[in-house]
Amino acid sequence: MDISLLDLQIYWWLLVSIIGALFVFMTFVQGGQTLLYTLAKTEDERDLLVNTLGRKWELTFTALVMFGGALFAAFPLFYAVSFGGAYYVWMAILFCFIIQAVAYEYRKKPDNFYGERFYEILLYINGSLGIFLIGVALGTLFSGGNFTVNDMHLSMWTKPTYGLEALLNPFNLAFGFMLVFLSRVQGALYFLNAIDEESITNRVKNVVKRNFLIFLPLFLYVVATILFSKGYVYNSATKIVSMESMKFLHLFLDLPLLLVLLLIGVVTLLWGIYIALFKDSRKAIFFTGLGTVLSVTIVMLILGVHNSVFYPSLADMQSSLTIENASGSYYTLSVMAVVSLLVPIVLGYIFAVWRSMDKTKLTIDEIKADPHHY
Amino acid sequence: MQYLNEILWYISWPLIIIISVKFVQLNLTHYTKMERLEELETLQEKN
Repeated sequence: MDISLLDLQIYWWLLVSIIGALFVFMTFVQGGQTLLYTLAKTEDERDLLVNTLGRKWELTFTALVMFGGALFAAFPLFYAVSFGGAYYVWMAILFCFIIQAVAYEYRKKPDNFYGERFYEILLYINGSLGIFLIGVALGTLFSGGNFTVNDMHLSMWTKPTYGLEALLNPFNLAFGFMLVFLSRVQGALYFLNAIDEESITNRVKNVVKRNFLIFLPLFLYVVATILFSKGYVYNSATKIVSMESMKFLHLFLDLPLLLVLLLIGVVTLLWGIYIALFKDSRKAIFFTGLGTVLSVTIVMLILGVHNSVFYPSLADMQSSLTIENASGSYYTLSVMAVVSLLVPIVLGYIFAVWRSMDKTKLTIDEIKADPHHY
Repeated sequence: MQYLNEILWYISWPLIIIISVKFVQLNLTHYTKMERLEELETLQEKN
């Protein structure tokens, strides 16, 4: 089979978008971690929540590593520019995820002199600050970073704050908070599906309502900014980057299939919220999950098609990264494309493990009876 | 047929997903069978 380099680059951007979307869905674990004191009022209830999340947290972590791994392997110039440049943001994200692992493993260890509360605070930091910073980092894919890249592919960050300046951009902030509140909605819906303890599930509806009402305006602001503000675009022949007014609106009008998929995603997400709030459904997470995966896939994908720039440079527009100038070689991408055929097998096992873990709903008694609980 | 290779690549994905699911199912069934076999062996040894 002889596939062109551009098609391989698009294929890899599509894969990265799908894995990124799966990760965003899986952040319900982080969202749940921020609700420990909202949904649970006793220690037993908190133990139940931590253990319900504890069965899934490694899957979220795996999704994050797979997303980062695929993105950085397929587009190594992005790795060089972003990880070395926006250094403080990436390191802060990594620390937020290290403390999560520590918290799950040590929270219930005997003779733990920090106390459970300390580890619950770490889980809260991971769920709030960690997801917020990932949102900010994803926001910069639209709003840009302060870097330059020369002909030898050597990159420089032009601000001494090394990535933290992204926090001054309202779009990035909105993107970060949007992900935080989405993950909290998903976390609450996950508890509703996995737990059989009325005292907790009775509190879920209120939490979903409150967090969704904060998520919605943030989401509308982010979508409106993406659609109606200026976007970066490159000429496919000369590779020169320029700005185009309402770039992504034009993209959706030129590629209506993507618009339809995005709308299906948003409607499915809203339907999930509706059946949770008004139909007392416990299956809402499946709809909000599917909606999230579809919407985020499209939001990521539009950065890699239609001559879009996926990491604009605010310091020097011509240094901006596109799937064409930032990808690995033809050889690398084609070998990795063959290996990517194994992805469904990995996902298949994750699915099987997930189903066997979710066979029975969790109760406080069950957690107490398990000597290996978190 | 400018995009034949690309079309073939993308339509092979559903097939790959089906094969992968079958493979995982087969593996899990085999694993369950082996576990049952080990249980039976232990029972037989006791008797």
